[in-house]
Amino acid sequence: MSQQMTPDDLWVARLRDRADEVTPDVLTDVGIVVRRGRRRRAARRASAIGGAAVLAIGIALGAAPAMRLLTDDVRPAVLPEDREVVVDTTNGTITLPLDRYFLTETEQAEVRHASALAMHECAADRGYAISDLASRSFLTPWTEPNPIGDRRFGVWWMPSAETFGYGTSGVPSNTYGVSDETGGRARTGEQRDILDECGQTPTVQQFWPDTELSEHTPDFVGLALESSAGRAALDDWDACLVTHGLYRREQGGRWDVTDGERRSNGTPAEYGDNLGPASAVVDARCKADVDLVDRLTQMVADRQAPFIAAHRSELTAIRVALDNSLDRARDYVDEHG
Amino acid sequence: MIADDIGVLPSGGTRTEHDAEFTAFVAAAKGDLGKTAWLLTGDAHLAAELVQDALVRTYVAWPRARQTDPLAYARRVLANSRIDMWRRRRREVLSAPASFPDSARVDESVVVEHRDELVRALARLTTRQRRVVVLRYLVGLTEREVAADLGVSVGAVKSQASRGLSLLRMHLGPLDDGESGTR
Repeated sequence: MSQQMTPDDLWVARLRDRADEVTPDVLTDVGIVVRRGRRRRAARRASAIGGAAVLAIGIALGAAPAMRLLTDDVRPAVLPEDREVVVDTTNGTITLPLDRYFLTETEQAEVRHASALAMHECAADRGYAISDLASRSFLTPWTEPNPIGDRRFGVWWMPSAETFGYGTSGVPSNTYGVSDETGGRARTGEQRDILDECGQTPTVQQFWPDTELSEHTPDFVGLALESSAGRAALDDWDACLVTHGLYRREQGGRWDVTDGERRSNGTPAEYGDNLGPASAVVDARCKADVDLVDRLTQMVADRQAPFIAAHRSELTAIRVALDNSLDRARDYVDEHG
Repeated sequence: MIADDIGVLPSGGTRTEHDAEFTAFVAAAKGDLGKTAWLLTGDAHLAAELVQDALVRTYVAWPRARQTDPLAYARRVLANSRIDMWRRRRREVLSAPASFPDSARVDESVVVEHRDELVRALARLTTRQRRVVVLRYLVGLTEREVAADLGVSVGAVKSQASRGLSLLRMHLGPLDDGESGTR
């Protein structure tokens, strides 16, 4: 090693060596990639040809002046609903404009449930039982609303703050998707093969349509927070927190709060538990006092609107595919649940 | 009707030529992409799905991606994936039948322990810190390259990298053999 290396450089070099030693094999099947890529490219081409056909028909029908207007205006039209936000303080949900093109949490749970049933049956056909808690939990239909509420803007919904504080202790976690205890568990090659095989069966795949957009979806919340209006909203929230002996801990994440020792998440062991529900309630009250959620969600919506307008046909197609998968999931649960 | 494997692509070159080129690219790049994906997710199965998805998107954009740096293109797609959403959506595929034996064999115990420590330490970083730390220090990109990949300023990369690295160091400790971090 070079003598020019600093202690940081040396530690990073050791870290890189460590990562090389422990990185597991990550399987890549180029055949599957090429087949999926061809299908996606063909779908894009068909979509483009469809658009060209509409243009040709329009001109043929004498609609050239109107079509010229369409082609001259490069910015697609933003509809009023593209900026519409619903903050539901009864159920703790937030619906941003882009959310309307994807399944709700409850609908996602229905699809996961159907998929879990199909995975379970597939494994059983091969003589195995899926037993870990995360997967088994999906075999139980999700009938209750999520008691935690939407936390994309931190803790803001008072019933959730009062009951759970910053954490989610006491929630049937796997069912509500707030824990990922199985994430790092090592598995044998045989396990992976069975699960891969089952995951690729048409019975399971029917529940997971392709929902990728042609363009990467920006981090709209991040963009809103980085704007001057977003920073002003955060400052107002922080000023309220300070009057209650709390303050933002930005390096811990967007919504991390501390009293100087304990944190809303990741309190050092010497200080004990994380901040409790009383602090979460203060936090939620401060957010309400400065209208933080309303202000920020509207900023996010204003940024989503032109994105939606630019990708409306793709998003609409995704929503149709997701609706179809949801219908199939409900039929499957009716038959197999 | 044109056969599927001899269609001519708009950018020139036959599909078979491009597929062969793409396949060679995957063979060369899959190790790097797999490692990056695993460091970003901490799960081999999820990483495999992320790599596959990134490669599908690279395939679709191949006429453009091949003209510059296809590995950088694929890595950029991968690093910007909405990993949290994937994790929620595809968790059931991570299930493990009870009848299988524990894969952590005795002779692999140190590797498993170190892997677990690294996964847990990386999981303590914010999503943005983790992306920056992985690309800057574990993949070895320059600050400018990381900024370009993630669409952020070089200043943001510097600050996130510094915070992320110091957190990672706090949790992992000196990384000498046989020593562990603070947790």
